[in-house]
Amino acid sequence: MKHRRTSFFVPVALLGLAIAVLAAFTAAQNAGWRSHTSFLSLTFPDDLTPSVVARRGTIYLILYFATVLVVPVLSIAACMLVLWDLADRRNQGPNTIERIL
Amino acid sequence: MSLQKAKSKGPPTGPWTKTIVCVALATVCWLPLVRFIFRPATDGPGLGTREVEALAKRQIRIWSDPVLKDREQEPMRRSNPEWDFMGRTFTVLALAEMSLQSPSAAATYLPVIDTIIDDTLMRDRAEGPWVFLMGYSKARPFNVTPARSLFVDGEIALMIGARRLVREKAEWIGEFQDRLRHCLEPIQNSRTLLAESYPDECWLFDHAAVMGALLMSDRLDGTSHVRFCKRWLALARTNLIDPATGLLGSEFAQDGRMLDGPEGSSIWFALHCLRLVDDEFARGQYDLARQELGRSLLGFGWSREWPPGHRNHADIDSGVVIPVLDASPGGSGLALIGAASFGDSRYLRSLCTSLNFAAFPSYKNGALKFTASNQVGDAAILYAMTLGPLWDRIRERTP
Repeated sequence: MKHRRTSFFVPVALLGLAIAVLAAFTAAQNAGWRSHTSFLSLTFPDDLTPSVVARRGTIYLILYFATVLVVPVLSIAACMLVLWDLADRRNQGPNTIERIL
Repeated sequence: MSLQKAKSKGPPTGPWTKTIVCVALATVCWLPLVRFIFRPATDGPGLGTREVEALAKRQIRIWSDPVLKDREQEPMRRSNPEWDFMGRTFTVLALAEMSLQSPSAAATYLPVIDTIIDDTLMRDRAEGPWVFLMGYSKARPFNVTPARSLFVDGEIALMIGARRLVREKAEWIGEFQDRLRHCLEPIQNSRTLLAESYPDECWLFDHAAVMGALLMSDRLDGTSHVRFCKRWLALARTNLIDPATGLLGSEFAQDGRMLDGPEGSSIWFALHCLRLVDDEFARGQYDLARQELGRSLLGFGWSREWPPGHRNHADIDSGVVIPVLDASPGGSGLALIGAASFGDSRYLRSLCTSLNFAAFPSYKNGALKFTASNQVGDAAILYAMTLGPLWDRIRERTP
């Protein structure tokens, strides 16, 4: 029972993490923090201090790279886990999947 | 049947082991595919025509909208006044290239070029070369008096020469030759053939730009600087090479001491200019620079600022060096010029993929800027995407 709950929990957790990263990135994007990536070229807009620009730009970069590189990996991994579990259960007996469903 | 039994009787794989295996597999599947999202959608190695036109549109808009110009230039000038100046040079060079590629477009581009050159000359005359130099240029006197900067004179000559190669402008012939004279005299009067851009600082980048401008003069005004340029390069090959890498160093004292070894933010553009003097030598240096500074991984390309083993501090030219990869925004931007100039399609494509991935292209009213970059960075990218006909025109006369 515990094993089954964990098997269900892990893909959901991975997808939940992916959605959380996506939501945080969307928030940073909507807040206009993309423009603060100009700190990479050591160019800082007039209205903010360099440290604020660098901090926001760094957070945006981390969230952007997480969205592009990590979110798809988590989503693919979640799908793989579900498929693997289904395959395991099919191998363990004809009634296992019915029991789960 | 026996396999099925074995499967069902074997110990079940734990959920965490499965998770680790699946995440690892997903990573292996996904990472090699990322490049396809960001690869330029064009058959050529560089950015597409639409992107290049949109980049040019923004550079032109900067020079026709004083508010936008201030908004772009002032933050750059606060960090480094040189960038304002180099942004002008790269914009002029790019628009000159585009005028040569499409003579009908010259009517649009030449007035912008003239505005940039006029504004540059006006500021230089009013405030002296210091207006385009970093503050420390005033910290001590130049060795040679009256003080002149090879950086400023050389790039102004390069701008005017490029303009004249597109279409002659008689009123600037005198200015062009004056600037070249101010470049040539201190180089010729120096035992090491090095002239200052800053007090007792002589830069490869600036000398290479001057060589380009001198050869423009040969093409435009019938002068003959080829032998001098070859003599300078011969001395550079003997005295300005970093022994560890075989690459040209970037910064020297006027007595020839190397102050800074090879740098990504210097070498790529310098080699592009030195191609005009000795293509074979420049190509050999380019291959070495690719080996020491150029990097590619999974379809993404970048440039290091320093060769491996050369530890140096990140500076205003390198930009914020990305840890682990040692990717330099400044070096990578100029690597585009090197890759385009030497026809290194593979590297150019990987650099453009990185641009789309990590420089954050942003369109507004049909104009393109890279958010992680600034005006000088965008102008350098535009130049890299358009270069070709200007150097071909110079070489029509250079043996």
